[in-house]
Amino acid sequence: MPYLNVIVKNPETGETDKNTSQFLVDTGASVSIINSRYESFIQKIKPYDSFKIQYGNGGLKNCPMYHVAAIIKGIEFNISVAYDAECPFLLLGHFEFMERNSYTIFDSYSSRLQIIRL
Amino acid sequence: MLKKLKYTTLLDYLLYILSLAKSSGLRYVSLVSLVESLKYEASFSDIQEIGKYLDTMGWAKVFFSLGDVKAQITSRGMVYVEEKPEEFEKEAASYIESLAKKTLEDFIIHVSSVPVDPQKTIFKIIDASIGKIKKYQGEHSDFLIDLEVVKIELTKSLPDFQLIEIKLNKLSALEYISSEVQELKDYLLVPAN
Repeated sequence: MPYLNVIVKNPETGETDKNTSQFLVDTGASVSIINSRYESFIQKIKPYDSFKIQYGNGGLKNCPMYHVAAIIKGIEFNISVAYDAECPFLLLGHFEFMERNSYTIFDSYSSRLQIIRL
Repeated sequence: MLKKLKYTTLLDYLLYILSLAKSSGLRYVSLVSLVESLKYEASFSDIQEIGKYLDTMGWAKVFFSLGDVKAQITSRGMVYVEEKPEEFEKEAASYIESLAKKTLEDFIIHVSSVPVDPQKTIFKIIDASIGKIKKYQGEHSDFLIDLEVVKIELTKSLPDFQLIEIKLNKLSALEYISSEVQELKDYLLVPAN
């Protein structure tokens, strides 16, 4: 599975997280997800909506949605993320990601990955 | 006595040094040497994290090699340093010069010429683990043989890192050497560049 190193930024205050996190790039996911790693960070941002997430095990969760910026290789992207404290991974939903941003090419953490807007 | 650097200040100083190194014609500089020279207490995995952060912010091009993290400032990183307040360069230079007791120029030459030798540290960690296994499991434990295999692989010019990873994962089962095993993983299982 390809991973990308991402730094999350608060678009309102310009504050950037001081740690890099590895996000799993999921070309089938319709939304990006962050977990409890960002608990204190996300408290400074107002949610703009909520989103029902259904995982593979069938459970349905209502998660708040936030606008954040994701920095990848120095390039900033505006994305919306769902916050699920218990999600065991950080996810960059390819579909949602592509809808909002123009194409670019990155080297993913484990193998070369190209993300291209069609 | 010099104040301990804050993490964010360390990042700024590293970028400042990298910008000077680039101006002096040096390409990739070892972050391991730089962090050690700045007397900042950091494990190898901390330095890998610093490298990832600088790379993800687009401030430096970073590559990870066995036991080292090398970085070269990017033009975005240069702009970041240039946009710092005027007193930043003075503060950074004075901190580095008083710490290293060298001029900035000599400091950069020194840092770029010090070879990073991770093998010594890696073998020290392996030997410490061997000592612990002998203490808790005796002289005939299979785990000792696994560590010997890791050691032998590392003496090869082209070690089999898949085999090393398998052995280290097996050794993770031993709680009393878990920190040593994790440290070995940080050194040996280098992230893809």
